[in-house]
Amino acid sequence: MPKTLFEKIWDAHFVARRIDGRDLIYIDRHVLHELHAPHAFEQLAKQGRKVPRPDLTFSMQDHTVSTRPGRTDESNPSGAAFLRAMREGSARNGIRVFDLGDPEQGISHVVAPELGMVLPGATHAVPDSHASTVGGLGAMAFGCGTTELAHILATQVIAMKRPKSMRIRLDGTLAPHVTAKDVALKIIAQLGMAGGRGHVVEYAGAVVRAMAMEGRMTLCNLNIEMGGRSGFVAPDGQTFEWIAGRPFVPKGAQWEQALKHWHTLRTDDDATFDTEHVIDCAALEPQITWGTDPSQVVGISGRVPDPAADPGRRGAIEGALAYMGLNPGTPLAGLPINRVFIGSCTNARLPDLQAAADVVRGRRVAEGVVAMVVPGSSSVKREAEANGLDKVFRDAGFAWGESGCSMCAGGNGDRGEPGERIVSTTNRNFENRQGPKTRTHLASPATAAASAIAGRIADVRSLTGAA
Amino acid sequence: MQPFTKHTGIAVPLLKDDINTDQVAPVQAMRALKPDYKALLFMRARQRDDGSEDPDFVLNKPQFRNPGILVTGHNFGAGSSREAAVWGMLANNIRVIVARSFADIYRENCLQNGLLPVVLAPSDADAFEQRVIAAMARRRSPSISRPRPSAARAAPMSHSISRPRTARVSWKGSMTSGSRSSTPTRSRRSSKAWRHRSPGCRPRPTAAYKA
Repeated sequence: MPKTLFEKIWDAHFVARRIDGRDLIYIDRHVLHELHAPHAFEQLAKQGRKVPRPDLTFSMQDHTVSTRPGRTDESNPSGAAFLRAMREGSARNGIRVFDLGDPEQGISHVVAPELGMVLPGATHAVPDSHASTVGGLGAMAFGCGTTELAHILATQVIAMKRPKSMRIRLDGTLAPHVTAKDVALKIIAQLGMAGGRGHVVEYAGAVVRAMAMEGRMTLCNLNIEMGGRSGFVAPDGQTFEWIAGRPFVPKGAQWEQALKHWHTLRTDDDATFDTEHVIDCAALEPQITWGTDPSQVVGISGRVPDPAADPGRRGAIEGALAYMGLNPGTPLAGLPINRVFIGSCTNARLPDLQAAADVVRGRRVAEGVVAMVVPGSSSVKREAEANGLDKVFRDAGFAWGESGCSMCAGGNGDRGEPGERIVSTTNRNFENRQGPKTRTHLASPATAAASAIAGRIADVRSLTGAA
Repeated sequence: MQPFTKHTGIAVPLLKDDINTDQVAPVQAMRALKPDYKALLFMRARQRDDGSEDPDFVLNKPQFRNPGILVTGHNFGAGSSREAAVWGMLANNIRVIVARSFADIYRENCLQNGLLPVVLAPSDADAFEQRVIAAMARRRSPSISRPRPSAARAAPMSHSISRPRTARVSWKGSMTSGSRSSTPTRSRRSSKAWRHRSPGCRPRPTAAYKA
């Protein structure tokens, strides 16, 4: 019986079926963050339960940490209680914390692959909807709430109704300056906010095969924005090369044994999916959001849509345009902006920063624009500095922060001012997310960098002469 | 968890699609470990720019000051996995959400907390919404009771408006008993047993990494 890769991974981790119809799925790696874990630690303490596998569990301080140099717990006053509760709960349960000052601290979804905590074909859980970022390595990851987090801590299994399977085949070759972020935004635009609901998505096709590992992570990161329960890319030679030698990755004979298993991690030729989509990316241009959800996307040469042309969604479009302060028919490129943020689990790995730096090098951020780069992990920050990227950004007028989630959701106090128009490399342009009344446009690091220089939403291809 | 047996309350129409958890429970309102979950529910929509209450927002209208049931559109609870978006409902005594569909994680979080997520068949949903809107003026309160114990997974729902046959309510055992729908002890036993019979084909984690 031919199987999809989803079925192979699910079946390999299937422990039991509960009477309520949910499956118990073994979790190979569990990564926590301080915004939600303290409440789960409290639940465990109340119930008198212990964490049986602290060696499979890691704690990350990322959501509430300040990005200022020399930061302490108090640098973000409202974060201090979370950071301490995380430290205490982790210590009580014997879980290693990647704390402020730790050379490997960073955003959980960036650090887990970096250190090889996550492996191809493994299951992974995080109390965060962007858990599936690590799907880029061929792992199957699930986000969950606080109660399920406590359940996984106590049992090492997640309880979940078996999702359906979906394959999205991405055909063609990407044009210069068109990135994984642009592909992901295109997919969400096409499938909608709920297009992946109830499904585990396998991303496949020529575009994915040619995509660097970090790009695959960006692609899988945005899977939740179309409602996907999890999403991954089947591992290949590039994957194995990328993870080889990372600290938590098996070594020696174990590596050989693992490699043999990992080569079986592919969807069988005759396997069928519940849902399939094919998207041709050959003519894709850089994408940007115009509205207040990640499916409200146009190409960078496009215009703000006319609500009258889409009667089914008229109300939603009108609401989004009013919030964003936009009129139908306005070209996106050329809109004046106030702020640029390059960071988050979506787009703050080294190649993201390199792509932005390539645009910025030798140029200046436009007057009146506040621009900030926050590396996805302390390790990304170190590597970027070793390559002189921090200098490129600083010379151009960007602020260069310490690693964390920062302005993605503003959990650490980093945010825009009311009414500001922001180009952001993050994952959500929801109303008020980056600060009350802020107007967020999601785009790739290259587009964000080009926009910072121009002081307006810009087509990176015209700035670099590649158009 | 408070067991779900019968819930009677005012049904509040918030008939929009894709309402996300940033709207339900803004992260900026979660600046304390134990925030005021009652106040954070739809905090932004409740307030005008000057911080005063927005009388046009449905939960601020006099007839919806004590809500019990939220009636909403497709893909409710999209976005972040934050469980505060469920706790905020419970803090306001909203124990039932009737939606056209739910985002996966939000629905899972509902079931962990005794917040009943109901999806009606499209024809029933249309009728139900019309009745809720009509009741808005008359201040009638539709109520929802738990499915009868004998009912199968596609359990019929009884409420004072109609008896749709296709409401999808699963995991009802734990909802009605009040136990968390995840029962850690039993799961742990299964997980231990599984580890013992695991063929070891997947690499097991090695020694803890020290920086």
